[in-house]
Formats: sequence, C-alpha cells, structure tokens
Amino acid sequence: MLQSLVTGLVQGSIYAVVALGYTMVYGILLLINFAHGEILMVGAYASVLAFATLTWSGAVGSLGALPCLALSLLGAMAVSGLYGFTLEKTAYRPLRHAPALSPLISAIGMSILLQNFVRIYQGSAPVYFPARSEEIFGTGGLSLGGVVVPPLDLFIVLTSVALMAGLYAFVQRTRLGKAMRATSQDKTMAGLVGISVDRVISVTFVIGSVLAAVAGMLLALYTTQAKFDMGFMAGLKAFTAAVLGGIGNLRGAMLGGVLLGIAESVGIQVFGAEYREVYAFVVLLAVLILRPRGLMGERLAEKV
Amino acid sequence: MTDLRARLHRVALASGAAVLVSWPLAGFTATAEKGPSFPLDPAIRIGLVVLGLGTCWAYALRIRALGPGGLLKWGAAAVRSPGWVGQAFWGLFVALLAIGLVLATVPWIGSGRFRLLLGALTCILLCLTMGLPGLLVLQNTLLMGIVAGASALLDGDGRAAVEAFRSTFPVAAVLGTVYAVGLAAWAILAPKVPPRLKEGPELRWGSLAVLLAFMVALPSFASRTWTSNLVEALVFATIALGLNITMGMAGLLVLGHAAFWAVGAYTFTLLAVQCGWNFWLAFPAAGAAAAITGLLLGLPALRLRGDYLAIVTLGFGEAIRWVLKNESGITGGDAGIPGSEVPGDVRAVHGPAWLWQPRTTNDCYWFALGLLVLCVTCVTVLSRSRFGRALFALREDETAAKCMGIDTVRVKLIAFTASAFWAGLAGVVHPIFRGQITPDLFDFNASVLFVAMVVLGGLGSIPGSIAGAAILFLLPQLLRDKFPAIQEYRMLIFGAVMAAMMVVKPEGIFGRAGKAGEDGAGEEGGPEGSAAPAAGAVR
Repeated sequence: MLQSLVTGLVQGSIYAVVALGYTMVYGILLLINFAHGEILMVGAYASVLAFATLTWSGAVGSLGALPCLALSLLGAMAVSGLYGFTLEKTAYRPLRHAPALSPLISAIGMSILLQNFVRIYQGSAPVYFPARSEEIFGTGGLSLGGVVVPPLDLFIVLTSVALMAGLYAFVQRTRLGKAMRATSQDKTMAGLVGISVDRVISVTFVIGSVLAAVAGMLLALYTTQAKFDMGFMAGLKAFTAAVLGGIGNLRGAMLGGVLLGIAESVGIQVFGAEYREVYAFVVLLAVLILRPRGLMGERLAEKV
Repeated sequence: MTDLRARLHRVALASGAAVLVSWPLAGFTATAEKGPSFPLDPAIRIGLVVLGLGTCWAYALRIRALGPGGLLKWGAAAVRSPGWVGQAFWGLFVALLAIGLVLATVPWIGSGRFRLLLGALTCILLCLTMGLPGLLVLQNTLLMGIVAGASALLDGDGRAAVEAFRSTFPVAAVLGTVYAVGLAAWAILAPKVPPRLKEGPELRWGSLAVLLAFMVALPSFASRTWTSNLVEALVFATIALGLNITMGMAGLLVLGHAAFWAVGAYTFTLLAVQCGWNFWLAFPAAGAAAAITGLLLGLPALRLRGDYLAIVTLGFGEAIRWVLKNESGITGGDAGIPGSEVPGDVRAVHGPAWLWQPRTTNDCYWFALGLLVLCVTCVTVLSRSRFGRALFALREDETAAKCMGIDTVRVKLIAFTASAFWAGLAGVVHPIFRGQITPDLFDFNASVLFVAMVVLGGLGSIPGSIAGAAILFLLPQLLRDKFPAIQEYRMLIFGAVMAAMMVVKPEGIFGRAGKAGEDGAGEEGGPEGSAAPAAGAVR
C-alpha cells in the first residue's frame, strides 16, 4: 500500500508538471492546448538525443552523468520552448478572436502534425534512454517504513516540487508574473494598463513548453524510453489533473496531478491493473459532481 | 372556367410527371435493330427516378407559381432575358451541343477516358447554360455525364456508364434541340414573360434531387474500394450530424462521442449475431441502447459547463472503451467480436431472405445513405422546431436562456439523448460492413475526429457537418490511394491541412462569418471600448 502511494506520488509529480503548462495556457487563453503532450514528447526526444550525443563524445565519462543530464535537460528545454513559441505564433495567434472551438481544432491538427513528424523522422520504435537511472543516480535510496524509494523517484519528486515552487514564486512575485495574472483576468484591461498581451502569451507558452520538456525528460527516465505517441496519454492525464484541481489554477494543477497519480496507483493496487486508465476518470467524475469547478477552482459569478 | 383551367393544369402536370418518371425508367435504348434494351444498372435507374421525381416536384412548385402555361413562359424568359446571359445563351448552346454530339457519337475522335471526361464536362456545361429548363430535357444526359466523368475519375468500372452515355446522349440532344426550337418560337410569339427566374425553391429541390440521384447511382460505377470508403464517410457524416445537435446547436463540447457509436455497434452485434435477433429489431435496439447511455451520461454532466463537461465526456468515452477491452467474456476483448456468424460472410446475419437488409458492400452503402438522409431530415426538422430554437438559445447564453423560461436541464438531456441515438444507429453499419469490430475502432482519436468534423464544417450547420466528415475521412484515403508516393506523410499533411483550414476560415466551411464566440466577441469589443475613456481623459 505504501509502495503504491510512493509510485503514485512519483507519477503524480510528473503529471503535475505537465498539468502546470496546461493550466497556465488555459488560464490566459481559455484554450485547451491539445498539442501540449506533443511538446512534452519533443522534449523527451531532445533530452534522449542530447544525452546520447554527450555519451558518444565522452563527456559523460569525463564530466560525470549528472552534469550531462543537466546539460541535456537544458537542451531539451530550449528545443521545447522553441516549439511552443512557434506553435503559438503559427497555429493559435491567428485564431485569437475566432469562435471558441476553432483554436481547439487547430491544436488537434498541430498535435497530429507533430506526432507524425517525429514518427517519420525518428521512427515509430521507441528510443531508449542511453543510460539506466542507476548509472546516473547510483543505487541505494531512501528507506521509508520498509519501502525503498530509489534515487530516481526522489529526484523526480524533488524536481517537480522545486519547479512548482519556482513557478509559483515567479507568478506571484515577479513583474512578468503579475502581468500574466492580470492578462488572465482581463486581457483588454491588461492591455490598457500597458501590458503587452502578445508578449505575455508568448512567454506563457514558452514557460509551459519548458516545463513540458522537464516532464518529458523525467518521463523518459522513468519509463526508460521515448516514443512518438508518448505525449498523448501524458497529455490526457495532465489535462485531467488540471481540470481536477480547477483549471487555470496553479496550485490546483499540482494538487490534481499528485492526487491523480495516487488514485491511479492505489486503484491498480486495490482493483487490479485491467482498468488502470479508468481510475483517474472515475476520481475526476466523483470530484466534479461534488465540485463542478474542480477542487480549487473559484466559483465564478456568471456574466450576463 | 377557372375550375376547368385548374383541372387541365393538374392533368398536364400529372402526365408530365408520369413521362418524366417513366422516361428514365425505360433507359432510353430502344433501337430499330435490337428492340428495347435496358443497359442501365438498377442503381442508376433508381437514381434517375429520384431525379425525375425531384425535378417534377421542383417544376410543379414553379409552374404553380406562374399559372397555366408557366413552364413555357419560364423557358421563354430564359431565352429572351436581356444582358450577357441572353446573348451568350444561343452561342454557347449551339457550340456545346455540337461539341458534345461529336465527342459522344463519333468513335475515332479522342480516346477512352479523355473523351468521356470531355463529353461529361460538355453535358454539364450544356445543362448549366440552358438553366433549369434544360435540365428538364437533359436530365438523363446530365446524370450520364456525371456518371461517366466520375467513373473516369474514381477508377471505377465505367463501361456500363459509357454504354448508357453513348446511347442516351443523341436522343437527349435531339429532344433538347426540339425543345429549344419550341422555346425560341414561343419567345418570339408570346407577348409577356415573367421577369423573375433566379430564386425560388425549385433550384434547391432540383439540385438536391440531382445530388441524391448521383449518390444513389454511385456504387454502380465507383470501384469497390471507393464504395467502401464512401460507406464509412456516410456513417461518419451521420455521427457528425448527431454530434452537431449537442455541439453545434447546444454548444456543449463532447469529447467522447465515439462511446455512443461503440455502444450501438456492440449492442447490434450482440443482439443480431450472438442472440440471433432479426436485423430490423436489432437496428433500433442499437439506437435505443446508445440513447439510454447518452441519457445516463447527461445526468451527471448537467451541472458542468464548457471544458469540465468536455473532460467528463472524454473520461466516459475512455471508460466505455476499457470496459469493452476488459470484459472479454461478452465483448471478446481486444480481438473484438465478429459482426456475423461466419467472419467475412455478412450474409449470416439473421433475418428472413425475403426481407431486405444490408448484406453486401453496396447494400451497406445504400443503407448508410438512407440513414444519413433520414438523419438530415430529422435534424433539419429539429433545428427549426421550438426545441431547436431552445438549443440555439442555450448555446448563445445559458443564463439568458434560463431566464427566458427554457428548461435547460430538459433541453440538455434531450440533446444528449438524440445525439447519442444517431451515433448508435450509425453503429449498425460497421459490424456488417467490416465483419469485425474491435474496441480500438472507438478510441479517443475517433471522438476527436468527430469534433473536428463538426467544427471544420461550421458549428450548427447541417451541410457543414457532412462536408466536414467527407473531407476529414476521405482526404487521408484519397492521399493514400492517389498519391502512394507520399504515403508516409499522409497524416502529417492531414494535420497541417486541419490546422491551416482553421487559420484560414476559423468559423468553419459553412459557418456564419462574423459571429465570433463569446470570448472573441468580448475582446473585439475591446479597442472600441478603450477609445472612450481615453478621449474622456484628454478632455
């Protein structure tokens, strides 16, 4: 039981990082960014390829595995950020004033495009992470009440927590974060007080994509591989997590992600693995029936 | 006096209708040497009858509006109408008739497909030039032309079409000439003609009849591959139309519509194949099962709005798929269940031999076509009813709709149920047609595809949903069949086209331009709104 809690926490942390990207974009544009999972997939590929290149060049041998992991993560973040930036510019910005569902279809189109782009140029077989996690983080791990938590799991949870805390501080404390909050409340008024709305939206996409790259690398480490369709399920779960916590709410996304991961692994433990994809949705349905706007969503007054 | 005239008028109409209907039935191939023969495929003949009835109906409407002698008056107006139409009329008519005659009858000019295509194009142009009066006489030719041209394009067996085309065209051309000469005489002799020609219901009914006739006749000349493709496209169009009720009309985003389709398909297969029900009993049962599922999903979804509803329907769709995957005792698990007792032989679906039910691919095509026509009719009636207006009100503003006394709970539930019902009925086709259904057919991608069909065509638009389904389903097939060189890039191109189409025309193909969504409209109002306070501050 404790074991499945730990597993759930680790998976949930990854979901939460992806969900942050979803929820940020949704908070500002009211758009479900269907291509977010694909950005994650691109990030995962970039990190795998970068780490493989570093291994080949001998950098892993001379510098050590951890710095190289950090380097390839930086590379993946740059690539994903670029993808997110371009995606917003080409597929979403022209549709800013279009009917609400049009950007959604455009996003689905871009998602299909990216997935097949990677499938064609990287092959449909999975690409394995060049090093096993034990080779990077060493063996051992933390012993918690009889359950051994491997260092990779610790790394994933700590990274996610650090990212969430960092993002929260960024949104709450910095000028740009304040501009983002203002934009998400009212774009017209934000523009009136001198905020460059277009720039804020671009920055939001880049931040979301960078977070997706981190999540992609973590997922590639955790599952030992990257595959062209890995973004689909991860994106779906993250979207569910974001809605569970109340979409548009950063803390809600974190809570939703962790809760979802735990619900899934506990569900597998209790009811068996056959319905593993369903538990998350059952929890979601239960929560939404009781709280139609998610766990932390504000109860907004309807505009008439 | 007027009574007698009205009665004569009615008799004339009836006899005209009889001629129009019997003419295509005969197939037009009686020659002095061979005697009467019927080279036409039954499907083409049915198509022609539909066309004849449609044009009769259209002309009856127009003639009733014009009074006695209306048909000739109308034709005469076309001939005498001033401007470029009138002037170009005779020149084009004569030229095209000559070209068409030469192309269709003289065997050594041109060859094969090229000649067929040219002939078909000529016929279509001819009919367009002559307007609807020309259609009356040349309807047979028009259809033959379309059939021949389309079979040349669709790689089908065009031989039957070629034969029919070549034997029909001269007769129709002669009749057309006689008619045109008569028109000219009338135009010179008649003192007054009604000026209004363009608008009126006959154009719509006429073109609908042409389209329907073409669709009915299609399997007889399209290749087998294309008939199968079209069966699926028709099924998807029906499902998209059903989804259009909840999404397009009521504005509720549903991301799990494939689940209803799956419920229909599995219910039908279990009842008809495993339990041995009659086809015509299992068919409505599939729709009913899906409708009940829709109702059950609608109940918890009532409190939710927008994207919360979307994710719940998504989860619901996935849950249904996993149930189908895991309860292998009933549903056969990942491998699915055969849609007939002997896989690959759909004849084994139960039912008495004398009762028509879809058994072959062509049967499936006509069945799916009939289902789509039924669905279009029902959705059209629905959208114009009191209930339809309530749906549109719900889409525009739920709170305002509630204030106007609309029972939003009831409306939403009915919308969910109706939309699920059509998906369930459409689910009947795949088990018969494919002989096997698997849970993976009904995955999230299918649901997303349905949403894309509705949005791409234009929310709330009925022709839009059909066009969206046709484009999104047939485009990848077309890329696969016609451009094997880019096989690998097929889905890549598909995704790019999807995104590009939305960027180019955000409101969808048939969407109403200028009607932006609530969020868009709010922002567009921004710049104007921002000007006022600024001006106030300066003063």
